[in-house]
Amino acid sequence: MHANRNRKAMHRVEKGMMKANRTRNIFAVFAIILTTFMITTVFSLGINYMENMELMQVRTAGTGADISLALPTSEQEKQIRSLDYVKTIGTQYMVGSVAEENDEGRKLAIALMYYDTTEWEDHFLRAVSNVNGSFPASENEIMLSEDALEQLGISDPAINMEIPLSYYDKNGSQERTFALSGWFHSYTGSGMGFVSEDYCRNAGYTMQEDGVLSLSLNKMPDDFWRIQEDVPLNEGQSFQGTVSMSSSNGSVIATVIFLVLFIIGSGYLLIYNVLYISISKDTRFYGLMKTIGTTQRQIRSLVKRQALRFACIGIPAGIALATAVSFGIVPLFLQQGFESGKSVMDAEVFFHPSIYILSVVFSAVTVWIACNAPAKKAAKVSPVEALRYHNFASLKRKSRNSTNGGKLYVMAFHNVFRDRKRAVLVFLSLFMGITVILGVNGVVGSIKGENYVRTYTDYDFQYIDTQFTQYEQDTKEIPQFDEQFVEQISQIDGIKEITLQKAVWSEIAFDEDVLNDFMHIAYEDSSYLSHGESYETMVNQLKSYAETGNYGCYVTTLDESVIEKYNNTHSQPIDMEAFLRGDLAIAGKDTEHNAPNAALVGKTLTLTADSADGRTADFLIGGAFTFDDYDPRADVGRRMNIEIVPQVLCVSEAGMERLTRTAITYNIGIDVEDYSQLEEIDGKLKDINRTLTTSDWEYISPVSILEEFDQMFYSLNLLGNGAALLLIVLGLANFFNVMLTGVIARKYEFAVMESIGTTKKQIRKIVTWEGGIYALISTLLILTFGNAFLLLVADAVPHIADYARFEYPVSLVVCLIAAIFVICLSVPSLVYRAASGETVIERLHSFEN
Amino acid sequence: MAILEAKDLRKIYGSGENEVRALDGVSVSVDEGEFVAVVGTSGSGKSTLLNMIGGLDRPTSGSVIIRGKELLKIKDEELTVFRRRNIGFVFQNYNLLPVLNVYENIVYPIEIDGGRADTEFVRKIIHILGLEKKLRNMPDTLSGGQQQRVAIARALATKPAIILADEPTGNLDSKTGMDVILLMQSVSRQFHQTTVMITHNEEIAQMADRIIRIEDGKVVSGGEHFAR
Repeated sequence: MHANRNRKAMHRVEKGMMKANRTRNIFAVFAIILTTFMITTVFSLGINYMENMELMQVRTAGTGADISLALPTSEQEKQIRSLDYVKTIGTQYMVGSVAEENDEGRKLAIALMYYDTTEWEDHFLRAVSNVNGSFPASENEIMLSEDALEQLGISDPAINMEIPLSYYDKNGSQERTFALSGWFHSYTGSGMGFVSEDYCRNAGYTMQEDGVLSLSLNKMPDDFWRIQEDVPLNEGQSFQGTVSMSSSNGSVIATVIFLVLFIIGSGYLLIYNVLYISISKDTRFYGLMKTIGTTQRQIRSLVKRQALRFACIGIPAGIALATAVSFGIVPLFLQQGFESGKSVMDAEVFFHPSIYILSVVFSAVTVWIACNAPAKKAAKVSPVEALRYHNFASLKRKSRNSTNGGKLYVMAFHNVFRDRKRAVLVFLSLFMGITVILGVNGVVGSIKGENYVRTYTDYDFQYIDTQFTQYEQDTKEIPQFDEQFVEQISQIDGIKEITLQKAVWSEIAFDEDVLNDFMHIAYEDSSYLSHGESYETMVNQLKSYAETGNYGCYVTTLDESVIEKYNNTHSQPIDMEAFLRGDLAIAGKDTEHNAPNAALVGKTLTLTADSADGRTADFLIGGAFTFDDYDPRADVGRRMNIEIVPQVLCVSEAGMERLTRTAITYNIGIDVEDYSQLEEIDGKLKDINRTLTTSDWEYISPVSILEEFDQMFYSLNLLGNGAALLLIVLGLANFFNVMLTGVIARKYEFAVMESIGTTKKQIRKIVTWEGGIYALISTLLILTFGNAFLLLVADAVPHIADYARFEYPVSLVVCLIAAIFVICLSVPSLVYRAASGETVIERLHSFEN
Repeated sequence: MAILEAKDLRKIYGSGENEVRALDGVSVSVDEGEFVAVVGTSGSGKSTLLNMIGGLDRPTSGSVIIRGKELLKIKDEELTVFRRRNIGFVFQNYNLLPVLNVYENIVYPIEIDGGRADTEFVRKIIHILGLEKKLRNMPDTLSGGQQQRVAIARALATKPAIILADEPTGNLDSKTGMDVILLMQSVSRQFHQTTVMITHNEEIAQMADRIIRIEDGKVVSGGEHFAR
């Protein structure tokens, strides 16, 4: 055997090919850049999403620990410390609470605590931001959250600032002037204050009496179940999970994998198309190379080396572009649109080397598989065949029984399907590209603020009379909203529906026989029992309430849709007719563990409304609500805090009429026709609000919720929409690529057609027809299989977030299909016009030589 | 009567030192029904002459008149239409359209002209060229000789003023090549079809009614009968 010394020669050929195919090179590199960019973006998006979600969970929970155990015994503590799957163990002491009131006379809600170093550094610091100063070191030092500072009326805190506080600790009411050792921003929404270890030691705090062990475990939730088996607990003790047990990361990972696979598929087809067409064009060249003795292996490596060169330029460029976008452009946008650090979901862009490693690997794999088939094809070219080869692709079929093939549209049709494998690949790539666009847009669109508002608010706008939501309402309720007010609201354009809920406080006739079961069940979960008071004591107290006319609750009207929902989910339905007639009342609300109201069902309560025209009427209790059945935003409170009484009784309008005609409107729900009008309507409602002279009401607007939501998910939306936009570019570039190469690769064939008398106009018609067929078939695929895929996406969307709601992207589908038709109908004709500038004979010769 | 007249055709590529005179004052005339062979060595300019006559390329100067129409005065798009109605091409590499079957290839020039094929005439051609059993075949499935016969049928189908054949036997073995030429000669006579064929094969050229010899872009012999 002779030594193979042809490497230099092959290099020269490769160099020559690269020079000769500049346009192809640009396309191939562009395809790789786009693919790499997409893959990098998706990884970056996925990892950032997971990191941000975790950060959000930690911040909402107020700790990075997984579980906690309050008041552990020393035995339990010892046992927990010996477990190998417990990563870190922090200690907290519940020290007490601040006992001050604000200017409005409301009690401040500031909890005082102590955290040890592990708890502070390993668990807590992750959940807060803007930490100034340090954890208290001496007995008179205190560290406060910004919420606590705000409650105390301190807007300009400074280290060592004097903070005089009245507070309770385990030794009772205390007063002390603390020195502010630091402050921080927390995301739990409650006021927090930290005192030092010295303070706790001197005040006599112990783990067994006041402590909480806060643990982070190796593997959640498995270790959470494990520790419950390993550590025996006393009665009343339980391990509390602080971070959501269900991992939402699973669905994110699945989404990322799915997207990456789809992008690899699209990228593969894009790169494959460029190389495949280039090789088809160069078939004669490869045949010639083989004729003069180049081996299959050398030709394969020739193609692959070219692909490698494209990858060496395309992959780093794609990654650089994605990096520039992730770390340059995105934060720039974030800075403008985001008030840093003030919302739970911070706009943090995380740097992860794994993003780049994964992107390089996946992009390289894509290029490798995309060039493999064309390389094989080039290697397999037979020298004899290649010398006869002129066509873009030969037809696989041997004969066809037709006589109308010369008709332009028939020719176009045959051209599209002349190479079925290629046709399938092209359609697959076009279809997949567009479907991914629709899928990603669907997902991104489904987690928008509007859906959050729709899920978490009963109405788009809501007015609540806060007298009815108090824990204890000392005075008789005064109507807050009059008829004129409701009328004014109804005059606003764009309002679809106004729902009014009325309420009246009613006395319940205290009939021990009727209430017996109810009271027994309620007693089991009451403070009477926990304070060691007997059932009889409780009944006696209730009787005394009844004697003074205070035994009762709020009776509210209820929309029949709630009953319908109840009847759909319960085996024993509520008699809707009787309810609407006004004969029935529904008692609420029970919990999973304690359901006294259910014991009232079938019994009759005698109610007397406390209003000017209040009447007495009997109501059969037709059902009992749990929190799942009926959980309105305006949760009804109590007039007097009587524990053992139904929290609320719901009746129909007719039922309310039986009690009073002057029930107070306590809840106004407003639904709008179109969400785009929210801000406008919000403005108009606020104008009307100024006309109200009363003050015990609350106005809930989705505008602020939307703003908050947009702020929370700004980074995700930006990245998601960015990715979706890029997918659109990728998909449409694919169409452009197919149309462009489809014409360029058949330059010779068109020259032949012209030579035998086909006019340029006729050829333009043929290629336009071809484009039309591509567009039509792609559209059909999108509308059938694409829509089927969207159905799957719609099914998967609720797993991303509970408020996520999939909406069919009608306008996007229409725009994309229009864009596809524009590209498919115009590009081939334009490309042909540009490519047919030379004379017929020049074009024929350029292929023959 | 001359159906084709080419006067003082010149085709010059490049300029200055790089100037190449592919055709240098060529004048030829072909009468109706004649079967003419143009012979010359490689690079002599015979293919360039054929391309000028067929309106596939434009000369630097001179004129080509077919059926009394001056080709150089016609615009590109009109020239294409003129070509499909008046000139039939037979190429060395057949140039059949791969998406059409044999029958569709034959009638293609008629169809793109919006006309209906003269079925009787087409059937006659198909019969003479022995293609009856291959009409449904796709071009790829035919041998070289068969493909060239299809190309000849396609060239004849529009009853053109003139058929231009560029090395029609170039890709065929000598026996098949000879068969094809005999067929061309036969149809030329049978249909009184004017044919101009380029070849470098003396034996094949001898089968033509006349031979024009070209060297270095000039008609050197056999042309005195035609040259003006």
